[in-house]
Amino acid sequence: MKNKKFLALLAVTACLVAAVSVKPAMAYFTDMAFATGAVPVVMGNTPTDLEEELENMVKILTIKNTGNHDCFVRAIAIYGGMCEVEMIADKSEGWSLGSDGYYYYDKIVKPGETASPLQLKVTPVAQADEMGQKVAPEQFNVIISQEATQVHYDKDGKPFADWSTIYAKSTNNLDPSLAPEQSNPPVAPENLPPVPAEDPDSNKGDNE
Amino acid sequence: MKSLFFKKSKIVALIAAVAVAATSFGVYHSFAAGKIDQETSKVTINVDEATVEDIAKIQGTISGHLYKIGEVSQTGQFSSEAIDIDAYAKLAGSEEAKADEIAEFVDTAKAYVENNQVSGIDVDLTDGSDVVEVANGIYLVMIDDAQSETEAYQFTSFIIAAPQNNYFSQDATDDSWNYDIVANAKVGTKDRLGDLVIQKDLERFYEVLSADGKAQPTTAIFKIVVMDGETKVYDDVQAVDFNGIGTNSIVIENLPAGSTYTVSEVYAGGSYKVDGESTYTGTIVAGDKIEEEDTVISARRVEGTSNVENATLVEFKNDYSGTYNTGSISVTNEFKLEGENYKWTKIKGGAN
Repeated sequence: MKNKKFLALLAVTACLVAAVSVKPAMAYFTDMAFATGAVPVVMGNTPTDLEEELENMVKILTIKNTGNHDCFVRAIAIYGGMCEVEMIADKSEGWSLGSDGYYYYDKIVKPGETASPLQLKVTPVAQADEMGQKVAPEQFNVIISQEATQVHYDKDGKPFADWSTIYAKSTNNLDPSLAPEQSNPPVAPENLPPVPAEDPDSNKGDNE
Repeated sequence: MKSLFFKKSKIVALIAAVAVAATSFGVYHSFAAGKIDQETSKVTINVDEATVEDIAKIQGTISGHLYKIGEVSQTGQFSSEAIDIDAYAKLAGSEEAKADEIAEFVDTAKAYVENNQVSGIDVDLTDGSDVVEVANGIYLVMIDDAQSETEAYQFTSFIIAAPQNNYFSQDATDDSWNYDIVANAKVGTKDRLGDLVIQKDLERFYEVLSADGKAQPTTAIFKIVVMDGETKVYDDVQAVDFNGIGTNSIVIENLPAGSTYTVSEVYAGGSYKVDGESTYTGTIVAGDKIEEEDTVISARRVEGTSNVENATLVEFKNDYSGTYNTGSISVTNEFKLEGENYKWTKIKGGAN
């Protein structure tokens, strides 16, 4: 079993090294390995932290890059039919709503930095009771999920976020032959929001 | 029932149910000139169809029992060791008789029957009605609880006299004795309740380490809509977290049996995908609970598989998707209405 894992590690590392040799930004993927269960373990990832506050039914989200690599972030509000959630655009600098329901932040978030706050207005939706009268819902949930992905660069050196890159094929078995399907550097999908060129000062300001 | 939207109750007020007791008891003193000239009376017990949505849906048999708790003399004098017959007759004959006051006499009669192990006369009301010939006297009528797939039926016990005098019950000018008694048994209806268990199996775990070296959990999010006929009784989202491969569950408690659920996994985690169907629909199966005034539909998370018996089970499987969207975090914000404002609490959940 150890030999299989070692072979898997070699295969993954070799492919990834081939991919990242073109772009320095991919360097941290060389630390990818397969752990028990044939699931990649990544050292040098981009963990982030999400903090929320509520003021007058407005949720104020701040996302901080607590990892050690640049990243892009996005967030989504998931809720049922008892409320509606809408972004307050003029108080959410740098954020835009994508067609997939995610809110995208258009700047790179560097290690230790925090994205501009995302403000979401939560509005309860009155429901009809048995008598047909509209009443305020007594309880409901709004679940905020935030994701981060590492920064990629196109052939011109322009950074972009790729939220769909597959680095290892998913299977149900502990298959040591698992290896990254991708042999080419990721290409910026057309439907992703534009990302400005990397600017070390772009994310500094009120949020730090 | 108190749902997450509003207070909902199908409990039928018992005030109407006891009305039968007042009318069927009739008079305890005979104002009639004639004497009681028969030793028995015919008693017909009907299930009041106005209080049962569809008697054909009731499962099993509907059994009733008549317990003799008093006597009547040939001159029409009623007496009982079980209850204060004078007080009861006065109350039952009043147009302002209150349900709770009538119920107190019924409870006293029940205690007498139980303590003295009074033998009962059985009736079968499965078809909605039964007729029985009984010795003249005062009877406590009790009918066993019954249920359909979705409803629980609780019949109201009552006291009747046999025979009854028509002086009060029909025509003041007619003081003859009526030996053919008809009583309508009222029933209170409550929802039977069931639990919905959403069970989630994670087949592979993509470990993301935070800055402190600890693995961050992942979250799956479900949208659940439950309709009881045309009424929406639940429409919300729930999350379940994982710290590794395995199974975790969400239990939605106290949903009306027979209601229709739709459960969709709307978020599988940043680096995961649903392995199989992402939406299931079906019908909530009744468990052991029935609706009460303070019943609330609620949700709770369970580590591992749920031990809830007779629950409706929906199973999802997730697997690592191969994507590399690391560092995702979910927070569940619970809003609860307190007075006119919402109180907010948050549960910080999974990452990646």
